[in-house]
Amino acid sequence: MKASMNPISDGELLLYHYRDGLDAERNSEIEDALFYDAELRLRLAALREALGRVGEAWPSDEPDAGLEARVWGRLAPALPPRRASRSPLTRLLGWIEPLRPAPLAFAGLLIATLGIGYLIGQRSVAPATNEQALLAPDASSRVLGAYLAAHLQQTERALLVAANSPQESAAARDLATHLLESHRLYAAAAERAGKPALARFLRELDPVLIELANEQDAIAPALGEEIRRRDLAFKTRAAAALARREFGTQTRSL
Amino acid sequence: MASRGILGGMTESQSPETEARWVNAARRGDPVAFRRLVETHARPLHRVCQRLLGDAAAAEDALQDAFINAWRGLERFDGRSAFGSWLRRIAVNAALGQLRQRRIEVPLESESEEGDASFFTDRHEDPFEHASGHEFGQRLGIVLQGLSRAERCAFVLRHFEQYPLEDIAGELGCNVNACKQTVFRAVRKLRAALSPVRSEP
Repeated sequence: MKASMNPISDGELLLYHYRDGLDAERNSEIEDALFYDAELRLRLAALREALGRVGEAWPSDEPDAGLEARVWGRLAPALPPRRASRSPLTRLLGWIEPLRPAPLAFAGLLIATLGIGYLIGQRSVAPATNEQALLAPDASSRVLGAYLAAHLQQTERALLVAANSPQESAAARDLATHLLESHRLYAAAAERAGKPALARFLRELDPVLIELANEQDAIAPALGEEIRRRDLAFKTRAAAALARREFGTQTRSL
Repeated sequence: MASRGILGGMTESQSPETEARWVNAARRGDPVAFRRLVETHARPLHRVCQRLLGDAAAAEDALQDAFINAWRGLERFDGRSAFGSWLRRIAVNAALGQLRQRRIEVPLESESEEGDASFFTDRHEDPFEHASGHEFGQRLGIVLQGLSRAERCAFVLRHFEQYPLEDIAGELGCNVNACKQTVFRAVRKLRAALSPVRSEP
């Protein structure tokens, strides 16, 4: 150690260790001293070892497995609404959200309405063509058409997200999960209403929605590609438009 | 640790690209994306808060504040640092906010005589002859009880969070010299926990 150097305190060694709180000149002096002075090196090593042991042994109660759920459970209702602009797709999904009926309850109601309509139709319209006999009267038919179209619109949104915005996979997955709850009932309702092509198309969508609902993280590129290749989003939009028109006017078979 | 979140995503092991997508979606107001960020970062941030506060329940409260502040301030995240680092800073501030509510008392004037303070109670002790692991853990727990909030806070911020002394001084509302002395006192007390308990001859 240089004879002219001030003695190096433990405090200075600590600051040297953190490379903080000492001026450059004092840092260099300590660095030089460490080169010449074995005892100083030993002191620094002891200090570093002590700090290391303190760091390792610092008590930390590992939170239980429910931490994340608990934090989110308290957080979600406390989050203020964000005023930042959202993507058009996210906004659309947001608009649809409150309009969604309770799927199973609604599907049950829909089938009941359709059944009653069908029976009334059978009694009141005679004689009728085969096609007309299978159609419900205006009111129930329009109800089915409107809800089927809404269901198909939501399906189209989910497919569009999956095909074009895989980063919004969570929204698409949640929507697909929701749609699946009633999708097969809608297919059955379409079948009963004498729309076998529409029923077939709904069944064709079924495995795609299942796959989408089961995506774990990002949407698999293959799924997005499949949706694009088969043009499913466009077909779904066309089916929604046709369902609305067909069930409203009872003139054309889908 | 990697664990599965409620939404089915892997936590604490997301790729930066995935996380960036969540951040962007959360910025646009997507709560599902923000939930994924919460699930990913809750655990490590809880550790940070707990180190500072010394209490798991208080740490959870601070965590709550931190995530609300993060949600409000997502526009300010410019992506130049890792999102986790940005959140960590917010969590530290939330924990410090809690400490302020409990009033941290830091001596405003430096205690210059402590500048030469030794961290070794016995200059001639063998620095590698330490208390056993279990004994050390127990004694450290006791020593931590004896640290003032300012000492604990200053040491945690300097040692674990790599805050510069100047920033710590700002957080504690004292000058840098007082902050140094606070860290020195903390280290001296912590170092004492390492010394072996010697039986009388």
